[in-house]
Amino acid sequence: MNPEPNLHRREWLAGAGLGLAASWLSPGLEWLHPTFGDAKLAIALIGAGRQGRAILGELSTIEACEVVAVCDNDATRLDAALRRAAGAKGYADAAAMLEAEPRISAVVIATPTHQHRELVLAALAKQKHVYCEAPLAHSIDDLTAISAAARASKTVFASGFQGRSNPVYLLARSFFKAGTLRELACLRAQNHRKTSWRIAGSTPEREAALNWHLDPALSLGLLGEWGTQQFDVFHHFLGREPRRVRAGGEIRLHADGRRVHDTVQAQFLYEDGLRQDYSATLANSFEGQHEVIAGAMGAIKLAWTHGWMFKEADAPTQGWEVYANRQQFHNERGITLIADATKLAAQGKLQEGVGLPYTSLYYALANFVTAASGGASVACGASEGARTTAVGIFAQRALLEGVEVEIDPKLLESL
Amino acid sequence: MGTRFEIVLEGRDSVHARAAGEAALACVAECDARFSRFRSDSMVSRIARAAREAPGEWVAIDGACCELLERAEGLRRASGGAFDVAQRPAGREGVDAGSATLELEPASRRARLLGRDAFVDLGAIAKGFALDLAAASLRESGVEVALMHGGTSSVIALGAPRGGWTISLGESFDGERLQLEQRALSVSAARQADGRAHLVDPASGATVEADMRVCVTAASATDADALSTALLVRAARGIPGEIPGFEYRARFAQPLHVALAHP
Repeated sequence: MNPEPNLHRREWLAGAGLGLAASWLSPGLEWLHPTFGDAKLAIALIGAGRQGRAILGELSTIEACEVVAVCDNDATRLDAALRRAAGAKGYADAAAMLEAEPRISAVVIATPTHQHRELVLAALAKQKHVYCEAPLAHSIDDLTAISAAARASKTVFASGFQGRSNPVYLLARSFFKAGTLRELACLRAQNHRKTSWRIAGSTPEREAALNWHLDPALSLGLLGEWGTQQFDVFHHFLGREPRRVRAGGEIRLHADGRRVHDTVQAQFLYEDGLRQDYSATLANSFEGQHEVIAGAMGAIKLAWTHGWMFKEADAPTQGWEVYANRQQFHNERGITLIADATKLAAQGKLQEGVGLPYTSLYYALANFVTAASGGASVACGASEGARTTAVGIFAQRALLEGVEVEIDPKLLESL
Repeated sequence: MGTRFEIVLEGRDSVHARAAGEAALACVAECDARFSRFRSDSMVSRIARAAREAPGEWVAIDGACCELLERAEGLRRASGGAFDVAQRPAGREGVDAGSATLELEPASRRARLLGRDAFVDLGAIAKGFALDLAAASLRESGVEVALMHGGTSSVIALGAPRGGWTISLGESFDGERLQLEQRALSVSAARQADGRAHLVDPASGATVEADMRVCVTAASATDADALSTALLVRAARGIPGEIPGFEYRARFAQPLHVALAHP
C-alpha cells in the first residue's frame, strides 16, 4: 500500500493497519451504505402506530421502494400515517386493501403481535413479500402457522430482528467468529427505559385498544416485546439458542392497575452451561439498551448504532489496534467498532465513522427491499425469526409460571 | 437538542396525563434524532455527508424533514437570507459563509446541499418544530390544556386553565408578562448567557455583536422560533419592518445599537 503524500506517517500506518484488519474481517462494507437497483418496489404498511410511522419514515428515504398503501383500523393513526406517506391510499381493512391494490408487491406488518398471524398468512396467500415486525407471534400455535406458511411461500419473508443486518453488529460478529474473545464466559443484555409504556388515547375506549401490550392475555411483556430483539443478537453470534430459562418480574414503579410487569429479569442456560442474563425495566433509563458478550480475551459491547471491543490485558494485540479509535468508559477503554474504518482512516476521518450513518431499522428495511427485489438474501428469515420468537414465548411462560422452563429443541428445529 | 423540555398538562387522570406527556416528549426525541447534526444517523447528517462524498447528489428525505426544510426555505426567501439553515464553518481564512446552498424538491422529497464543508444547522427552527409536533401529539391524545417549553426560550400553549398561561419575559423586557393560549412564543438573543456573541449573519458570516433580544409570538412554534432569529439578523443589518407572509408579533428588548464583527 502506498502512503498518501499528505498523510503523516503514523496516520498512514493507522490506515494500513486498519485496512488490513478490515479487509480480513469485514463482513461486506457495502452494507454500510446500501445500494439499490432501478426497480421500485410497491409496498403497503399494515399498522400505523409508533413503529409503523417510524417504518414509514425510513421507507420514504429508500428510493427503491414506494409506499402505495397504508392500513390501520384506527382512524386517527391512519390519518397521521397518511400525512407521512405522500400519495399512499388509506385503508381500514387489510383484506380489502390487498384486494383493491394488486400493484402491491410487498407488505410490512407492524400491528400488535397477536394480529400478525392472520395478516402474514393473508399476505403470503396473495404472493406478497412480507416483512413482519418482531416478535413474530404471541403463541407457539401462531408461530408454527407463520413459519410453515413462510416456508411454503415462494416470496421473501423477513423477520424484523435488526441485529442481523446492522453493520456494526456484523463487524462485531466477524471479530467474534475469528475467535478474538476466545472462551466464552457469559452474555448479558438489558433494555432500561423509564416510561410508562402506556399509550394515551383520545377516549378511554380507544386507549384500551391501543394498550394491548399491557393486557396479559395478549402481551409477551417486556421479555417478548423488547427482549427478543436482543436475544436474537446472541443467537446470531452463537448460531444456537438456549435450552432453559427462568425469569422473574415485579411492578416497581407503575402501580396503575396494570398486570404486566414493569421490571423483569431472565436467565437463559445454553447446553454447554453458558449463561445469558437479561434485564428490562420501565422504571429507570441508566445505560439504556445494549448487549455484552464476554470472553477470556475480551468483551464486545453493542448498542445498536455503536459498538466497542474491550481487550483483556493478557490478550494478544493486533498491530492495527495500536492506532484504533478508542473511547473511555470509567476504568475501561474500548476500541470503537467502525464499519468503514479503512476508507475513513485513509481520509484521516476515523472519528467521523463512530456511529452508523443510518438507523438500525433502516438497515433491516433496506435488506428486505433488496431481497424482495431479487438482489440479496434476507438477513433474518422466517426460521431464524420464529426460533427467537419461540425463545421469547418460553421466557414469558417461565415468568408467569415462576418455574424454570425447558426450551424445546425439537420445536425450534421444526420452525 | 441539548436542552431540557418540560410539559404541564391536564389529562383525564394522572395515568392518562403521564402517557400523553411521554408521547409528546417522544416526538421531541424523534426530532432530535432526525434533525441533530451531531448524530451520525440523522437526516441532516445524511445530507451533509452526501455533499462531502458525492457533491451534487440528491438525498431522499422523509416527510417531516421535507416539511421542515420547506418552511425554512420559505423564511429564507421572505427574510432576504437573514435566516438560512445552510451553513459553512465560520472563522476559516478564505471561507465564504454565503456560498452554502440547500436545494429542495418537495414533490419528490429530496434535498441536496451544495458548498464545500457545508452543513445543515436546524438549531434555530427545530426546537419550534418539535414543539409543534408535540402539541399535535397532545391533541391526538385528547389533551386540551397544556403548556410546553424547550430550554425556556421556546414555548407553546394549548388551552389554558383560566384566561391563558402567564409568561414572564424577564428583566430585559422590563418584567413584562403576557398571556399565552393556543399560541407559541420564542425569545432569541444575540448573546448567550455568558455574554458571548453567537448569532451569525448567514450571508456575510459576520457575528452580531450587539446585545439584542427579541420576543416573537406566532400561531406555530416553528414560525416563532425561526422568526426570532431572522428578526435579530435583519435588525443587525439595519432592516426594520416586518417579514412578509408570516403572522406574528415581535417586541425587541434593547435599542438597536448594532455592530458587526467580521471574522
